[in-house]
Amino acid sequence: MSRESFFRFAQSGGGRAVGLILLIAVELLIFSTLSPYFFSFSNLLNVTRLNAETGLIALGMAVVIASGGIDLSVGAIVAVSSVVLGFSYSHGVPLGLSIVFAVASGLLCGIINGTLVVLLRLHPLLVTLGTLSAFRGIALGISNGMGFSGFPDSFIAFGQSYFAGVPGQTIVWILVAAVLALIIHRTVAGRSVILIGTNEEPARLSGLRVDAVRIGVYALSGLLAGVSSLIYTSRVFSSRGDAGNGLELLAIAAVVVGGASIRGGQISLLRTVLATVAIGLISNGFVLGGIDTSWQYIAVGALMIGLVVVNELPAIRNALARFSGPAPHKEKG
Amino acid sequence: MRSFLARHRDVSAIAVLVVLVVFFAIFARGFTNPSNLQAILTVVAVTACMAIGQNLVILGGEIDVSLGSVLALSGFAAGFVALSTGSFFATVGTAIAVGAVAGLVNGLLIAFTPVPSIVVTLGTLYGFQGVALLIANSRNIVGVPDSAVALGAGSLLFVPNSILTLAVLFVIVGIVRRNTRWGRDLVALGDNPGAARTMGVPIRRVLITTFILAGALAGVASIVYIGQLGGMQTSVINNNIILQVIAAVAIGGTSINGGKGTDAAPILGAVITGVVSSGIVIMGVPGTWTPLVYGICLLLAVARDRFTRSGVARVA
Repeated sequence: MSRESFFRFAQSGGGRAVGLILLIAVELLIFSTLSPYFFSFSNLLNVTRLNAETGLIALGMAVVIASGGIDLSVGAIVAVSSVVLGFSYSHGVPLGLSIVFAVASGLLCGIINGTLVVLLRLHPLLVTLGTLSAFRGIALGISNGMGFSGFPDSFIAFGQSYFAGVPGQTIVWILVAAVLALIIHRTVAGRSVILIGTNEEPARLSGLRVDAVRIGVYALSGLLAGVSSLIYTSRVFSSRGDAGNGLELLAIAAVVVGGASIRGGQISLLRTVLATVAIGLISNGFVLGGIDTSWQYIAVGALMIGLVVVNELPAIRNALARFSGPAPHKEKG
Repeated sequence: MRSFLARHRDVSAIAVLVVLVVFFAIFARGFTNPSNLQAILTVVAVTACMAIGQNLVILGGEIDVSLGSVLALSGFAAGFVALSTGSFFATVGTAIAVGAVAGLVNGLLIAFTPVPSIVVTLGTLYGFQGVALLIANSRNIVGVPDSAVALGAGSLLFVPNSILTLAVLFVIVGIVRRNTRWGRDLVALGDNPGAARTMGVPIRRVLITTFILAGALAGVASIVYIGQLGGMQTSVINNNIILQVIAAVAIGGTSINGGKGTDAAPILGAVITGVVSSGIVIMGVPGTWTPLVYGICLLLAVARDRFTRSGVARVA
């Protein structure tokens, strides 16, 4: 393979997916030399189990970022849903209905985000920064800063069940990724997400319902945060107002490591899943390998910047070619 | 009216502040006690110090989400220096140097790669967080001598040192931003990068300088933090103070799109949030609801930004 065609393959979607799989393979190789417990099927399933919550949120984030937006409020939505679940159940609402309330509250939070972004034409970074704080305040306020943990045993099903040895949330995660991939690539609404993220004006002029799609992506992100919260609340078996703290940044990291541009117009749900696993393996491997957990943050940061730099390689090569020239052009926002 | 507000961004922030103060003076008993007003300023000093740096970055059309990790990194480095030497200059020097080096890393990555600043600084947020954890080695820092962190501890003529530090930083950064070529280039760059490039603005140098300054200011903020609390807790490392910092800049009236804003925005924004959180707590709202009020403030602030925007179409 010539150098040029290698670069072209490495830049293609399939090439990047292969790259992520290679990255995961390298991680598996390194960590299995560090710990005898690492390279077992049950541990790898455990990694998917623990990362399904982030993974689901990262899928929603991937769609939001593809549309040219960003959603910083997802972690706070996890807290709202979790608290709504605990609050409803502890106030006599049946468990099934409490769960519906919890997931619906996630959806509602997402719709609020989308509506604010669309109606006010505000920068999504600021809108969702504002709602992050607002939702977190609602979650902490309702729960009064305390947790709730009196769930019935049957509630275990959502975060601690296994089917033929496979954790339930792993199956949910894969199913959601597959369904989303179908929606994004095979439906008008899905394809218009990419178009809007690439260039909003032509999308609007060609008759796409830009505002509806925009509200839709934030609603989806909120809904997935609600589902993620249900899994989280069941897994730790308590409802907490501080749930999901910092999840938004981890989800954005997964999307970016998955090779999507933060500027929008690109999406790969497969690569988002692979990237979530690659990041999740780092913390799992470091813990099992007995490495100071501090290093896992450094590794995630380095991985993220390194991969984004590689993803932007053609631009970098151009920049290097005119090294003394002006800085590469940046989109704003 | 619109264009007046767009040109005088401070006016609307000051108006909001005045309305809030009057409101709480009437409805929150004890709000206007001098000790409470002083407490508000003291509480927001750390956020405001960091917001001064973030304001510069945002004026330049970029964003730095790693500053919270820089605060933790500088704080732990300087905290250990303070414990072992007790020297004021060694401690402050360490904090500023560590912050500046972190800012340099951000600046170099942003200036020399096409990666957007939010992604670069999200990566370094994790990187610096890891280094801070390594330095901290799961130890809290306690019992730092006040003399080493005098920028945030003690008071001069009844004014707490952290407020004096904040005031001095505000004045120095304001003067430098207004009167140097770097300051004018920064705003030009944030306002219209294409035009700035055409006009020969040394974009890389401006960006790197700005990120170094933001890091150094976070370093100073870490000294104020230690001075106020007497130490560093490892919980600071995972703290999302950065969101409050960005919120302060936006609430104060600097546009997140870059190029439009004021030097006073970070201070005004931080004080507004401090006034609101103090006021509602005095009015008897449980402190757990504070983030909700905070978020509503931010949303109102950005909505105001939307409606005061001047009529000139922006180049995306």
